[in-house]
Parts: sequence; C-alpha cells; structure tokens
Amino acid sequence: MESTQVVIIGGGATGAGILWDLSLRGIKAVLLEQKDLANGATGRCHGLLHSGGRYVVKDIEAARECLAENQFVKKIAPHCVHDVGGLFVQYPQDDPAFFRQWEEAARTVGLASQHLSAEETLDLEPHLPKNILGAFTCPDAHVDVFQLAQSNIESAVSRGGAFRTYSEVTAIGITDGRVRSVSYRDTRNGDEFQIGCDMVINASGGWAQKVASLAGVDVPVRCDKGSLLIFNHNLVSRVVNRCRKPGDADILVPAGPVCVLGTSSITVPTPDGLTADPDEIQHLLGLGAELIPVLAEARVLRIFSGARPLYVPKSAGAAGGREISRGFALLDHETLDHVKGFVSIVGGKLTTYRLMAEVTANLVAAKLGVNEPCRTTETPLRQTIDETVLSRARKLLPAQAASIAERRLGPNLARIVAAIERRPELAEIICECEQVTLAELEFVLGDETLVPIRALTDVGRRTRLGFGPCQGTFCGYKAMLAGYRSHRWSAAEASTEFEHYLDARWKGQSFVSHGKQVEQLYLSHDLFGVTYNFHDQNGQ
Amino acid sequence: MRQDDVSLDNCLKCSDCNTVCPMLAAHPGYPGPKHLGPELERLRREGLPCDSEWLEYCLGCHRCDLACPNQVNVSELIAAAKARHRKPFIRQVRDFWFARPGLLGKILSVAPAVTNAVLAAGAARFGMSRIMRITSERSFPPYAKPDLPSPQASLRASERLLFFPGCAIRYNQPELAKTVVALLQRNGFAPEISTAGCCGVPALANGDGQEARRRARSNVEAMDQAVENGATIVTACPSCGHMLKSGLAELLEDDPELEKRAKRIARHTYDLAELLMAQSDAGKLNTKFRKTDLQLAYHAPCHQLSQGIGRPWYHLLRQIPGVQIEDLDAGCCGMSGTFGFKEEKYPVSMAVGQRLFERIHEAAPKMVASECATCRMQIEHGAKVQAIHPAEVLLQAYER
Repeated sequence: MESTQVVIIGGGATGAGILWDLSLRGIKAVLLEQKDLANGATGRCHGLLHSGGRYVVKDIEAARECLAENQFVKKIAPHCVHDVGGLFVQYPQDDPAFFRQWEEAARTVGLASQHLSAEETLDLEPHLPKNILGAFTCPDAHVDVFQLAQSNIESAVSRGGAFRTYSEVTAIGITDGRVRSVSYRDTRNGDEFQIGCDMVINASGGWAQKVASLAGVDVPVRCDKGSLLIFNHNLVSRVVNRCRKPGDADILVPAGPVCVLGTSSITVPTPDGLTADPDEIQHLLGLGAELIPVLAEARVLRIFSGARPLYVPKSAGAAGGREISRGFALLDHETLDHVKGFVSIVGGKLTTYRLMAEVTANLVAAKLGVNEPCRTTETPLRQTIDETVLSRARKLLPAQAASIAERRLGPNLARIVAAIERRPELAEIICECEQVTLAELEFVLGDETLVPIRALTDVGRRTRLGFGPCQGTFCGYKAMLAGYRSHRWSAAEASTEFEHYLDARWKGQSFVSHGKQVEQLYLSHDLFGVTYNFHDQNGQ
Repeated sequence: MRQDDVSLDNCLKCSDCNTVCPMLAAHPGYPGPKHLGPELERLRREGLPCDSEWLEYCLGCHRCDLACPNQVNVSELIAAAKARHRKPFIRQVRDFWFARPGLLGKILSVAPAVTNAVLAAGAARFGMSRIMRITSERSFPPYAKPDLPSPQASLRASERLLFFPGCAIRYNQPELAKTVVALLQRNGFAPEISTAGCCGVPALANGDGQEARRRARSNVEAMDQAVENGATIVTACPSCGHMLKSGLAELLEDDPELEKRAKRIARHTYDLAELLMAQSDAGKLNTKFRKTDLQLAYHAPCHQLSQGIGRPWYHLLRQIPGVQIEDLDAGCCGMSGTFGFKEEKYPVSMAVGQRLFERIHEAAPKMVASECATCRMQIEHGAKVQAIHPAEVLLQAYER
C-alpha cells in the first residue's frame, strides 16, 4: 500500500494551497480531488480578489483578513491576478448613510481609498449610469481561479507533493480512534486504491459534511447557491461594486477577456448538479442593468451556479445565506470528536484561501511534530521567465497570443517556444477566442506538465480553450483530434470525450435565454448534434 | 467607433466574412477579417497588446460587412484598430499624404504640366520608391487644372441636384465632371457642383482616423444646408458614395447633432447610376440611344457593391442597342485606392487582382467599364486593357 504523511481531500483553492504550504514545509502530502481541480466553488465564483471593501461595514475582521490576503496574493501570484482596482459606486437609489459608514469603516481598516466625483468616475467607467453620485476606489482585483489552483499545485508537485484528479474518496480508515488510511476510487476507470497516512485534511468545501461522515463526524456546512453570468467582453476596466449593504448582483468583475456579474444567494441541499432557474436569471439581469445599463444588451456567454460552503455551527440558528459569516473555521476533530489525525477546514472565501491553508498547515505540522514555519506569504508561486524566451515567443506568435501565453504558461513557455521552433505548424491557433496554440494544447495533453488532464473537459481549466464566445464550437473538435493524434485517446475514447465536452459546454449556455448565445448554441447543436451525430449518452 | 458599440458580441465565429475576403484569398498569411475585427476587438478591450502590421493589409472593401449574417461592424472594427496602429516613420509620412488626396491635388494641380513631367520622370520615381516607399511599377494618374463646369439651372430643370465630384474627378479627370453634368442634363436634371472636399475614404484607409473625422465634419457642414433645402446629392465615384451613405454617420458618432445631419445627407445621396436606374424604372430615362457597336466588360467596384444597390451601370449600359456587355464578377481588383501604390503592398495588390485580370483576358473586351478611378488604373495596369467610366459610354450613346 502506498503511504504518505497527509492526505488532502478537495482540489479547490484551499486544498491546493494546503498542498503547497505542506510541501514548502517538507511534509509529504497527496491531494485527492473527485473531479478536476477547481471544479467546486473555486471555479464557480466571480474570481474577485476582495480588498475587504465589501465587508468593512458589517464584518470588520473579515475585511482586515481580505485586505492582508489581497496584498499577499498580488505579491506571490502576480501572474494569476489582474490588478485592475475596484470602485464602490454610489447609486442615487441607495442609502446615503451607508456611503458615510463605508468611508469611515474603510479608514478604520486602513483600506487605501479615494473619493471620486461622479464626473471622475464616469471618465474611468463610461458604461456606468449617468446619474451616479460618485465612488470610492479600492484595491480589488480579479484573480484567475484556475491559474491560482493550478499554480499552487504545480509548485507543490515540483517540491514533492502529489495530486490526483477523478479520485473520489470512498472510505477513511480509522483504527483505535486514529486515522490510518484513505480509500479512493478512480472514477474514470473504476480502479480502487488505498493510501496509508498519518493525517487527513478535509478541504472539500460544499462536500465537507459528506467527507466528514466517512470518518463518522458531523461538519455542519450550509450550501448557499450563487449564480453568475459571464458576458462576452470586458465592459468595465475595474471591479464595480454597488456601495450598499451586500445584496444580489451588485458586483461586476472584469475577468480577463470577459466580465462576470453576480450573484444570487439561495440555500440548497447539495452542491451537486446546481442550475440557475429562469426567474433567478431575470432577477440578476434586471439588477445588472441597474449596475451597468449596457448589460441589458450585452451578450451573455454562460450562466453557472456555485455553492458557497458556509460553516454553520449549531448555535447559528436559521439565519439566511448573506447573514452567515464569510469567515472560516478550522475544526480539529481530535478535540471535537475524538478522531485523531482528522481536521476539517470549512467556510471562508477565495480571497482568504492562503490564510486558510496556513492555519490548517500550522495545526497539521504541529501534530506531526514538524517545526517548519509557513513560508507561503513570501515564496512566489512561479519563477520568473527568461527574457530571451519571451523575445523568441514574440517572434513566433502574434503580440496578443505571446502575451497570453506568457501569462498562462510562465516558465513552461520555454517548452512551447522550443516546440514551435522545431515544428512551426504548432504555432497554429486552435482556440481563436482565447488564443490557444496547438503547441500549448499538445503540452497540456502531454506527459511533461505537472498538472496533467484526464478528460477533454479539463483542457479549458488549464488553457481557457473553449471559454470564449463560440464556447468550443470551433475548437473542441480540434482539441479532440489533438488528443487522438497524440495517442492519448483511441478513436472511440476521443469521440466519447468530445461528447462529454459538448455536453458540458452546452449546459452552461442552455441557461442563456436571449441574444446571440442562443444562436451560437443552435449552431453548435446543428453542427455536431444534427450533422455529425455526436450525442451524449445522457441524452442531450 | 462608439464606445458602447457591442456589435462584436454578435460574432458567432462562423467565418462567412473570411470566405469573401479578397486579401485572405490572395495572401494565406493574412489573419482575415474575423480575427482582425471582432476577435481581436474583444482582446483589445481587455487591454492586451494586439497591434499588428496586418491591419495595414485590410483593403477596406467592406465585403466582410456584406457577408456577415449577424450585423457585426467588421470593417469598422478593423478601421478603428488601424487608426491606432503604429507604423514606421517613413510609412507614416507617406501615408499622411496618401490620406489627403484633396490637399495633394490642390498642390499638384497648380502647375499640372510640371507635376506630370516630374511624376513621370524615371529618376523621381526611383527616388520615391527608395525613400518614400512608393512603387515605381505604376504610373501616377495625370493631374489637371480643376476646371469643373458650373452650370446654371437649365430650362428643363426639374429638381435641385448637387454633384459631389471627389478628388479623382476634380484633380485628375475634370472632363468626367462635364460628362456627368451633361448626362444629368440629358435626363432633365440641373446639377450644381458641390465645393465639398475629399470624402475621407483615403484617410480612413490610411489609418488616419482624425483626418477622416475632420473630412466628415467639413463635408457635413458643406452639404447640410442644401440637403435641408431639399437637394439630392449625386456621386459618380463609388468610394465617395459609400462614404456619404454610411461612413459619415459612423465617423461622427460622438457628436449626436452632426451624426443626425450626416444621416440626413446619407438618405439623400444617390450614386449616378442608381439615380438614372430609378428614372429608368419609372419610365423616365432618356433612351434616345443610337446604335453603338461596342464589346464591353463591366467590373463592379467593391464600394459599389457595399452600397447595396446592385449593379445599376451594368443594367443601364445593356439598354444601349448594339452594346455587348459582360459582367466580369471577378471580385476585388486589389488596388484599393492608394494601397496598390505602396512599395511593400504592390505585389499583393497585383496578386489580389489576378483573378480579375484573367477574367478580362478570357472575355477579351474592347474596353472595360468601371466607375471607380483606381479600379480603372489597376485594370489598365494589370490587364493592359483600356478602362473607362461607364458614364462616358452612356453619354456617347445619346443621339447628338
């Protein structure tokens, strides 16, 4: 039986952050993820790196945490961050008392903020409604969640950490009140495995309760569904927040080429199979048009829902989603439930993922008797890129493709550049919307990457392939062929992969009820469903 | 381009625009209108560095706009990016002048004989080619005194009409203005000649957005009053026509008042053949043609097609007894105004025109009729056949 010191369950930002933190301390760890990385709440949020502005009025501690973490993440992972800044915009229909409270609270927390007149604000963001009263600036930013999770894992793996996707935990072995092993099943091929370990960390977000029950422990987590809309192109150049008591659809985040509007807040029984219903979407769109009027006519690419895993200690009662703390809790089940070697990290939010990883790793290191301090606040997640590689890339690729590849690939850009120099045909752009080259695709499909994919649907999380306006209509097929040609998949496997891929791409678009995306979806249905007879077994 | 233009959102990535792009057909390295237009615009709005020398290769033919089934302003997106594109110094200087045929025409037509002698001199052309990157493969159109007729209202005058001549007619072929005026008079109109300057197409094509907007503003101011008083504008150059009909309003989008006036001008602008064809449809065309034995081929300029009025000259010329006319239907000629004069673009300009040249050879006409001055230059240069404005054929066919 394989053995390690720590098994981490959950491949979101927190799990990935823990794997990196432990690896930096020299602790052997294996991360098990039931699907692909960032498949849960991490991959289904705004991607907003909070400055704390959203919480200053109501939860000053959460605001302080956010502000500190915001600065750490910008420092250690600049390649994952679009440091665009944010605005808290004063709308005439909102309570003016809140503006004053906000300004005061921001000062107390030490949030660097400046007040802008309506005119100055409209100069910066011409799409805002003309009747706004002004705005406060703040250091909000966008963080690429897939890059962030991937970078943590990549760095951890290069330091001896291990990472397995499509590995669903089926049992946690406990003998004499102590965790001894974890059993898991490879959901792609059905193989069963067991890993011996000294400790298990439950970082499974919305699934924390389910995972904890495998150890006979109850972890009360409430899943709070938030739905978000992705718009085809960037309509604002900085994060736009509505300066009011936090509510639905009051944040628009410029997220690379797209922008993301959200969210709703609805309690759901499980984080699996979430969908946005038409009323909810109309509600979000209506509020979105109050925020930025042009959203009413802009193209929606996809609508998706994630579940905030909120920690609800039994004393919290029946409060609703937004009243429950966004803070996190580290549960030591040795003291709480007499299960040695089992800890759960629950609640929290993307912005504080590193801090959550730090406190978890501190506890685990102490229990393992490892006396290494946390070094994640000062260790960059990625090495710098050789300047000569960059200039070679700029010669081989168009300006925007080179700039995107640099950001996405980091030091791995050297491999891509060398591959194109060897075989110039690899410079072909496979995904035109997101400028993914055949060379990058082959790298992701190959064996040299530290964060390998298993399914065609994983490719987008590594490269953004298929994330643009056509939603994979014209690149998914080419990606499947690349997988077949590189002998990763047989013809039959490649075909099945593509069917699953289409199904996943179609699902997110199917909630969009208006505008050009509906035509785009029909085009994809016509092309692949009707003309080429690709049908998912689930019957799309 | 309006800041809130969201037409890039309409792109379904179908590539219909790419299938009709003449540059893409001739030059496999060219990224095509889909990429340079809506695709890159999305990344430009993200703030990524997207500048590309390929922007200079857009011919501005508007065939992509016509082909798009989803109302994407493809060529407008490209033109806006072209206006922000950075060029090396020499090309900047050359394109500054190419963008201003009106100013150039004013200077060069002061002493046309001198101008023409210099422009034809081998040494001068060698120097221009080496220093200014202007090809010596082509001859320049000769310059003439802008001696335009200024007709008074004739006895049969029935409608007030303003003829917009454009730079090529004003400075290079002023006799064509006389032809147009005579043709209109033969059909009962009493045209006056507009004093408005360059339409702005060359400025836009050479990436000089500011100059294009200046031209648009000045032209609106020059013609607005006449149009308000009920005048109709007539063009005989398809590029001027295209600009007056759709370009002016686009260029003036930032000024709602001027944009409104530009739209009014657009509504009252007609291509000469469009106007005569409307007369013909109403049974009012003067058809006193004498039999004219002439074997002609007709080439439809891109900016004629982009006006969405079909091929009225082809249908008009067919009405002349004895005239045999073949519609060449062979795409873009590749000249694109000043594009074909650029040293580095000359080979690809000829490559684009290859299909047309071959079609002309197959058809073996006595002359090619085409209403665009630079199409005619390209046809004479590439196919070695005389090319004339169809108005000349029509006027000559009238009984004296």
